[in-house]
Amino acid sequence: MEEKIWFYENNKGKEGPYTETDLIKMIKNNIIKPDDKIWTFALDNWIKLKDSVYIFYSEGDVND
Amino acid sequence: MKSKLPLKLLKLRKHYNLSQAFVASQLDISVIEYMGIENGRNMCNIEQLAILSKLYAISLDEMIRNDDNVTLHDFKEDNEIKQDLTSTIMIPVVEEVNEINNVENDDKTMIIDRKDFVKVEEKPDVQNKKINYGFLIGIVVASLFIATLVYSLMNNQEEPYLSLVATNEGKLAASDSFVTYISDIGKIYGQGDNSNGQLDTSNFSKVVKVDTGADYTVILKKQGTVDAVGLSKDLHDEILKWDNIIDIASGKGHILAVKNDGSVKCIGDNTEGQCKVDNYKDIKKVYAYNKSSILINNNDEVIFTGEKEYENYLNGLKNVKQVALSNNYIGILKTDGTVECIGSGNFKGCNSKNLEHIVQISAGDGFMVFLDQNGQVYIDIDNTLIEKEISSWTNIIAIATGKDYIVGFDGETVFGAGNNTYNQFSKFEDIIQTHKLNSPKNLAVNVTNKNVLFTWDRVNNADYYNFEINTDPVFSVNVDKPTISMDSSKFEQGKDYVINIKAMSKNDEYDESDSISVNYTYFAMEEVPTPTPTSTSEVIVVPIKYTIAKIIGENREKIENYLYKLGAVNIQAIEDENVLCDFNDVKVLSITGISEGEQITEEELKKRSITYTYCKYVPQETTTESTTTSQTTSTNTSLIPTNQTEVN
Repeated sequence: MEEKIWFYENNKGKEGPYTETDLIKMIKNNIIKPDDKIWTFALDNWIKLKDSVYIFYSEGDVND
Repeated sequence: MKSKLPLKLLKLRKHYNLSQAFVASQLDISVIEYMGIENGRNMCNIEQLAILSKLYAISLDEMIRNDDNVTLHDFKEDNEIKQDLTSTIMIPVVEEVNEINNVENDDKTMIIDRKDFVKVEEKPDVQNKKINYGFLIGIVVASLFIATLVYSLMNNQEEPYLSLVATNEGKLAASDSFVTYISDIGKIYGQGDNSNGQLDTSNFSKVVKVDTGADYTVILKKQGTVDAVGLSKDLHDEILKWDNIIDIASGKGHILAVKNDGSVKCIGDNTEGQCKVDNYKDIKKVYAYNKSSILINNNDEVIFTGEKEYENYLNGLKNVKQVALSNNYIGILKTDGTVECIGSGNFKGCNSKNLEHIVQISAGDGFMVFLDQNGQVYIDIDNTLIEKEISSWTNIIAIATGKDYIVGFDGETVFGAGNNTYNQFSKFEDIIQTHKLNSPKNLAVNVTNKNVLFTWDRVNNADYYNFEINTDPVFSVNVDKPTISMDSSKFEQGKDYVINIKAMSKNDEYDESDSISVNYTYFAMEEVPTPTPTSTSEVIVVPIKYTIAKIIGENREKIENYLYKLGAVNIQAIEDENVLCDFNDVKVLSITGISEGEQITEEELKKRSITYTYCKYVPQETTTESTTTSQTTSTNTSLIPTNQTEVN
């Protein structure tokens, strides 16, 4: 079973943990927005989605 | 904003002079997959990012940051990473080689086979030796080159020059009765008719392309091998022998495959010559329809073999990316992203002059479908309902058609329109509904002397409600709770109003509900509010709490109509012969079972047994000044329609 390792934070607070698959879905569905922050256990700091390589999944950035 | 991971990975890999094959082996993925990551088509998961950060001795935070300013260690100064790289480089290259023999790559990674590296693999204590990195790489590259040359000469094979590239169009396929599609992780799923086991695909993984026959599913794996379900055993056994395949396609009963040397294989039905493909070379792509085969060569020219009615229109066509056929359409997607349809003989032209940036086409019986690079689907069809339905699809990455339906795939879900007899697809609207809030239900109105109180059931996940009523002026308000009280002075006696309520959410995950609409007639406290749903929507049940108006002394017919309208069914009327009516006005004299001012629900009212007495009407000419000596009662005809409960 895929581990729930991801969290995100928006102006309503922190949410999680989620699996990577769920995280990607939420990015694709614009539930997690570019200015929201994401974090997983292996990271030292929270990072804004738009400052991370996961922006790949954001609308308009998927190259397929 | 684009992901800069590809640039970062390229920068790191070049700095450390690593091959794509090596990095791919570290990630436990094929070279093609890694190439997809490095050119921005695919994306790493967090585990792979962690492996890469460890490989390049940077933090995961630095690896995940979306810029290409990355720490590049100097080998001379940083012995740790040097040792790490030199100690790991040998073994993965040896272990991974048999996965890349059909790969075209950009940094001179050799085409090799496992057996060519037995000697290298057997070197003792490679990991513990301190080796000059550049020298080592040189030795490896030279060995690979020589080994490949020798291997190639010995086997007298043509140099493979085509790569297997996973495309979106290969992720979805449709027959007339079932649909199959590939998930993000290369698993394959299906919907619809499974009578021949054509959807029993759970054992397949690492699938890069899927296609369907009449009653079977054929798949291409990323290793370049082919498999199928629902296929006869002899054909199945045959395709299992195929390797180095870069593309597949299936008609109703024949399967085509392109090898990485540009040759084409075919098995199955050859009744129309659709499998006469042995002599063709330099083929890079194949398509199939029914009993026809369409081959696209490296010059983007069409070679056709199969059903004669198509042949003259297709053979030799140039600048072609794809061909789609049906009984009455020949669609040609050109390399410039425009589409042409043959409008001749049995074939209809299609309205495609305004279409551009088209990436895929598909044809059914009586329609042609087009997918553009933005994920929008267009259709040429004489059916406005289907046209409208398809126009609502967004972010589609692949389309496919059966003879009488269309499906689109957004990477997660298959949407469809048309004949869904076999449940091949889900309706787009049904799926979207899962994110829409439910409509408010059970609107109730309570009238007091001063206020009119509207209440309804709370809706799950709704943060607030929009309430609107067409008073003069229109009153519209957002309320947090499912209730709103309005001053009764805003209402006119007996006037009809329309109330609209919808549930709303502040969370983007939920869309506002459909608005429910209720007609409401205002009566002051003594009168009867009669809300009735305006639409056929099933959501409104209105358990109005009635306040019983004055009854005694009122006209009998009026009162009986009043009670009937409220919903009373158990009414007994008794004529009091001792009290004669004045003129024609038959008044109610007394009532039991209900009283003036009482509040009662519709359900309660139905259960009540109501009895009233009324004066005896005597035609005027016979009216005399009678005296009442005794009261006799008799059951009389009620004004309630005969289908109502008769009370004895």
